[in-house]
Amino acid sequence: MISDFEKIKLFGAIISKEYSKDLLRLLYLYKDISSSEAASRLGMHIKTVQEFFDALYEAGLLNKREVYESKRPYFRYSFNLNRIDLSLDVKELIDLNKSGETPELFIREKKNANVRFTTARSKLFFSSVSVWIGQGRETIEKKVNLTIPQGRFLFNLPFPNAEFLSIPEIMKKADVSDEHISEIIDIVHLLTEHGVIEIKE
Amino acid sequence: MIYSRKLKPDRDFTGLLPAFFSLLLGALIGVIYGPEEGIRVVGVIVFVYSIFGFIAYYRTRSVGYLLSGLYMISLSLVFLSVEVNEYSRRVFVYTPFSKLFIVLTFSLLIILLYMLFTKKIKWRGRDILELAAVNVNEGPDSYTDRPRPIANLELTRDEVENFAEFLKSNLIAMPYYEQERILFVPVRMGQEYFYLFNNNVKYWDKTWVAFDFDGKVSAHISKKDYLEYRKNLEFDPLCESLGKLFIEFFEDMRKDEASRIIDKLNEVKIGFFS
Repeated sequence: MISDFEKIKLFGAIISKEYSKDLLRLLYLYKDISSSEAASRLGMHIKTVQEFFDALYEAGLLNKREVYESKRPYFRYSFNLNRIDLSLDVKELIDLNKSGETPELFIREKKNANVRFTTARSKLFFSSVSVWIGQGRETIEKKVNLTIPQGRFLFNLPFPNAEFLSIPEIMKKADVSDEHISEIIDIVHLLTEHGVIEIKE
Repeated sequence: MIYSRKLKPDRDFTGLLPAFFSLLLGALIGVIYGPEEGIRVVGVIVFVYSIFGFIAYYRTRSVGYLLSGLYMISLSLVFLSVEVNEYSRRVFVYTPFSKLFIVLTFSLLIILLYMLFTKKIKWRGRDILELAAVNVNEGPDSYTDRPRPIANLELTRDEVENFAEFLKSNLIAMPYYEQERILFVPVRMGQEYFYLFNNNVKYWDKTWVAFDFDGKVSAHISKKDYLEYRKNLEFDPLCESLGKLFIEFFEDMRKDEASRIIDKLNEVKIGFFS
């Protein structure tokens, strides 16, 4: 079973090729096979087949054995599986701390942050936040559309020079339930990176 | 209580410009075409101004604007009804009709002067900004363009709407009605024309206090108004103080003690034209 995200990504890229079904079929039928044998069997370029086999090997699905024929080395590939299982735990992608709990951060808006908050028309919360990246003519605007909990959270973010507050305290003030904690942490990290949010040392 | 001024002195005289240019135009026409034409032109201009007075009354329901509109109509009728004899020693000959309007005009003028000195026809934006800053200390520039949540109140929509009517008719703040809230924009003297005769005010960029019908109160101070203070004030307490000032007014209104609101504003002792 493949559960590593990078390997699943690699497998996804190669399985989407037009010729992947034919090559997988060959790998399954043959005890082992070289790139040149498979290429000649299917009328393909050897380099294409070699790249495909190497990618499957990288993904941990093929065995690779170096053999010699009149002192010239080449690789033979063997496939010993009947099925390929992929399993992706999305939760593992979230960059929480090791305990998986909310980080104990005390935050507020940074003074003179180069930012524009846009207020939603229907309610008192923010619909988007724009930050400016770069300097002079190279400056570009990065606009992030906020979810409603994120917009309410940022609306209640302490002003520059006001008392720092913890994330749960601000969420309570903003009436944002705990189920939105991960998206709140995500926007806090993003805005901290862009110098909009200040974290208490 | 003695308040130390935290706002810069008001040297804005834009409110006097229309009267100044009207008289200048009348004088020019009088010199070029003769006194009758000059006085008639001023009469027509004042008549047009009276329409603005009635529009302002319609927008605010302030008695001051109604009387001001009537005063300008009466004054314009004096200018339009007086007979002009430029070759006589008495250039202006008052007809019975014009005499009637002179009496009416002076009567209205006396009432308007009384209202002016008692600040009943004064927009209270400066008073509000001064009151909001009373207990706020100087601090580093920490301005942010974000609104600040102030409090959650138990209130009804009717109470907020009554509050809006009161603030509007007493020229304390201009209300802007939205589906779920009313925003109150404190208007300073000299800026009232922009709010009274402009239907597309981007009030979200201005200084305001918003009362949601579900009880949330928020405040926002524009950069322009923040820079009106002589020195940088701590911004977070300033926003909080502005919001709490309006909540205090709202509570006075609920207790049927609306006159206290006017008393508090009068305590600041800001001039009639500021």
